[in-house]
Amino acid sequence: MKICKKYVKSLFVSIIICLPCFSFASWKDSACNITNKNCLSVSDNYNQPYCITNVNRSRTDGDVDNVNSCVRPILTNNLSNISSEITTRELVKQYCDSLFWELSDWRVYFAKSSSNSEDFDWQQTFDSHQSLFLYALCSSFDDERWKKSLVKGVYKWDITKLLNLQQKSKWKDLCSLKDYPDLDSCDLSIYVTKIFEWIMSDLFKIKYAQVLYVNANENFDVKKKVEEFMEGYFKINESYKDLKKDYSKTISALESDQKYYKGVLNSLKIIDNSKLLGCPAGWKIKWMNFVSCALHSFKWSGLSLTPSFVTLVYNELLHYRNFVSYYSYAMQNRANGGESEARALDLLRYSNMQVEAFKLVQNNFEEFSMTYPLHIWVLLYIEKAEKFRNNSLSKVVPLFYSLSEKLQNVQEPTS
Amino acid sequence: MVVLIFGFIMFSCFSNYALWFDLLEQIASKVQSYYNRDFNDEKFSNVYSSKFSKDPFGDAMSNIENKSAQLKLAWAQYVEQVLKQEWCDSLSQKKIRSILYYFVPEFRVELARYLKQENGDYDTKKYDVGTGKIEKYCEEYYQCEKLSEWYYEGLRWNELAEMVTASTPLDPKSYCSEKFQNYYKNGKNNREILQQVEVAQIWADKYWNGTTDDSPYDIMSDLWVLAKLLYYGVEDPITPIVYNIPMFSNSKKNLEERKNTNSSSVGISLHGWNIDKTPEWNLLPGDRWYQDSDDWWEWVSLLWRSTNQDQILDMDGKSYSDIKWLPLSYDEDWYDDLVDWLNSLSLVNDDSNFYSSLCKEENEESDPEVLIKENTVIFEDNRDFSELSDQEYQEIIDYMIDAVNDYSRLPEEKEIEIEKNMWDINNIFDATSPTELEDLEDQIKNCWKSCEGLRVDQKASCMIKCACWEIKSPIFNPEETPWLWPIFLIRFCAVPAVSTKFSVGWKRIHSIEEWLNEIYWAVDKLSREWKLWKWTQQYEFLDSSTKKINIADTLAFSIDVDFVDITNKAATHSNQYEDKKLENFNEEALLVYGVSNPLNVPSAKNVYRVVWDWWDEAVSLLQPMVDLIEDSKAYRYSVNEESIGRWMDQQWALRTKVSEDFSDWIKYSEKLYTKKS
Repeated sequence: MKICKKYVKSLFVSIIICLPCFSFASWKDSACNITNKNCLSVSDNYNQPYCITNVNRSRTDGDVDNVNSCVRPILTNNLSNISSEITTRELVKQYCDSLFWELSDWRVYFAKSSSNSEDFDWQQTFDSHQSLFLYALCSSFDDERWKKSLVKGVYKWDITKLLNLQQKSKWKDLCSLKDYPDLDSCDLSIYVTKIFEWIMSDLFKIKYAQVLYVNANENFDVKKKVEEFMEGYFKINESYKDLKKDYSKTISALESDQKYYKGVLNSLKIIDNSKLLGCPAGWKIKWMNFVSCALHSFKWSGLSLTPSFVTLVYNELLHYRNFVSYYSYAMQNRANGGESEARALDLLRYSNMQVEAFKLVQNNFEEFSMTYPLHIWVLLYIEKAEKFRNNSLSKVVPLFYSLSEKLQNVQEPTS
Repeated sequence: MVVLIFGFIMFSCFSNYALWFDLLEQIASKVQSYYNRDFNDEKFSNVYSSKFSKDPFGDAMSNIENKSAQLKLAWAQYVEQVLKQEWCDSLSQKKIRSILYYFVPEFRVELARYLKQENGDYDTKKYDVGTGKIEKYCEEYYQCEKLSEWYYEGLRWNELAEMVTASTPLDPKSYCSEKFQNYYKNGKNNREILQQVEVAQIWADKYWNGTTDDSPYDIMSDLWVLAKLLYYGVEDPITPIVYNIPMFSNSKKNLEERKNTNSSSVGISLHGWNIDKTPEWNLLPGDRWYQDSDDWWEWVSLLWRSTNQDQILDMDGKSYSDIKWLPLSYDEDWYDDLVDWLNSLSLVNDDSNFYSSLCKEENEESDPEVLIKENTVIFEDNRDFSELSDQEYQEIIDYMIDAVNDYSRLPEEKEIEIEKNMWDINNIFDATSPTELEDLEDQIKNCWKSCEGLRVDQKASCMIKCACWEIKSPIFNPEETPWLWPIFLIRFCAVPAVSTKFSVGWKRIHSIEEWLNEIYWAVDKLSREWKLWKWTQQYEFLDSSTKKINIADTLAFSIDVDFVDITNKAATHSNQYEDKKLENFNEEALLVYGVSNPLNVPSAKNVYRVVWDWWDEAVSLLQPMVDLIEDSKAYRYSVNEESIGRWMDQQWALRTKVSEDFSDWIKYSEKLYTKKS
């Protein structure tokens, strides 16, 4: 009981702290002033506000356009003393360090509904240690803190080798455009976008697979999957044999779909789905397992993106956008201004495009999760109708033939 | 079966069994066709196969990139366009792009990324970026710009050339860089807005647009297959209406120029700068359309779409005068019909059908030529307007004024209120009060007055221009954001339209069956247009939301009964047409009763013969047709007897056109009537 009381108390306090997140009216006009308020709150297009808090330090609040302008001054405080000839590697290292010293306890909270702050799901929080993107970016610096991160297990291969900027690796091409030799030894603007794209595409592949009842971490049994699908969506509790007997075409279509997406799951780019363990009981408290849990929290009744998955994706988005704004800011302050400024703006533009793409897929996923089961349902119906036509209707037809012939006017030649 | 036979017996007692037999035959054939129909359709066979996207996010990304790639270099073209307006024709595309490449680093990066994605590498040799050359290009640019600038101030060419060479700055490059970076910013803004609009439409209807081209499965295609399986003869699903993107135009000047010079591009000119889909009123019939008919059709269709009032064009021929405008979602057939109709107006020398159809009936009282001349005095020849006499001018003007006065009305107050509320919610638009509307009406009238004194054709278009006005949102600032004007402006047009009324021609009917059929058609039409329904609020759970109505309150038929003694051959001898009727009657009597001599039929009252008095019908339609010709501003075309005749033929065809559901019944009746011995 004591633990429970403590828990409730902390919950209550944190609700009060984060209340400004939900006052939409205050977002609109508030400029980015660093005040004593404790939230940096962000709204998105899907009426799902989230709140970034720092437990130790006081932060500001602002709307979605102010995120970059708010975060950037914090980050660039460190940059003020940096000479303009800093290498890219040093830049990234500075950023990764600041994650721990400046933004160590930044967390992302999501509300279930935008209007009622009591619905706030405080358990769905995680910090920068859990970001797939940040791990890919920062883990090459041999910091012990990253080694503790559970994200490490999610990756398919050793991602730390990816950004070893001092060695000549196969990714070197990503880091330098040969037409800009004097820009820097490495330009991250393409590399970073690639990493983010891979993460996003893998996460969405896993989500799409769930609509087809294809899970990442189970032995793949087609019959079982088909039964699960039919029961999950249509409450048809029939064995695979019966289903196959009644709806052979539809079931084989469903099977091929599932097999196909199983293949897609096995060809993920950086995430290893076999390492994505299922979500253990009580996972809400053990938020360290967030990635696995968010990916496996698909609810069949809801048929839509669950808040935890949206949290996961938005978290990646947040850290990615933060880094992009930081990096482009640093690039704009470099020596050969025109060149690098152009590249920085280009990077920002490209990240905007990625956000658009993210919204697009998110919308499309909602549509997919609704229409695909409907599609299967129509197929079942079509098959039944076809059987009716072939089996039953053919018995009715001869009646009309014979009647028509009997009543035919013999004086009139048939046409 | 017993019931069936009983029904058959009962029915045969009261009707002739030939009808019943044909009905059965028809059912049998229908069931046969149902059973034997071919389902080897592609859509049907592919319905069970689907192949999903392997990488949804990657696809979305490449989709957006493709969209933006199309627009990527568009702003370079925009710069070229602007420079052309400023008389810099001498600057080639290569020179302009070289300057851009040199001075706008973003362009360089963008080009690099774009070309690298496309080709793997890019060739910078295309661009002469040597310092000396750039200076030369910049000088050229400076000179041509100054030339155009000072020319407007009234200087002569000789002076100009001297002044320009004298004033060339020592450092033309800095002048260049400023200018071109400004161009870049403007162009980029435009491009990004366009991109947002296009991106917002990607995949919006991926899974329900009726095609499986863009998605592995499609719910509309599934339903199509199902419908075809269950109900034979189902048409393809209708493609959802896609909202036309608003116009984005960067320069006001450019738009005005287009208006003044009758620009030849009516549709979209891609590259983003002048997407202008609305018809402009001052582009009313000119020589251009007369020469280039395709453009004209396009314009007409756009005009009709843009001014649609949610009126549905009823082509079953029952009430042509109900037509106002073509609906927004017209399908190809409608369009073809429209084009046919317009074609029929424009053809002058085609007398193939007109006189032949007139010869069906020779009656002095209703001499078609006389009638047409009476009704269409001003349209009788193909003269140009400049050749018309003063009196004819005046007639045309009076007619137009009457037409506009009668038919062009301001939007009703209710509609305005709805519009107003909608905009109020969004805090975009100010209320439009009724007094403002009255002011607008006055404005239009005053505007019309200002049109007087012009040439007749100019006057006509001037008056129609006056009938349109725009209401601007208060938050819209044309100087800051000129490209936003289509969003914050609403254009109202008082459009001349045919008044809605029920067309009551009269028809000579010679059988009870036909009479009942007519009533059926009328009621069916009303029913299909949801005019026979009234909706009420539900008070109880089981209440019906439809209100019971008395059909007699809604419909009234007046039927005059005449008796024709068809057995008296002498009475019909005088009229050749009636003779023909009797001939037909004989054939039908043979067909129906199997008797050779109809005069021996004991009673002629159940003899079926439809005599449709076509000319009386046509005369009743003449006036709305004239109105329609006026509305479509087709006065440039010669509207004479031939065209009117063709139009009536068209009407005739439309009237006999029936919906597909009943085409079999029509075939049945045709068979009954056209079968010759």
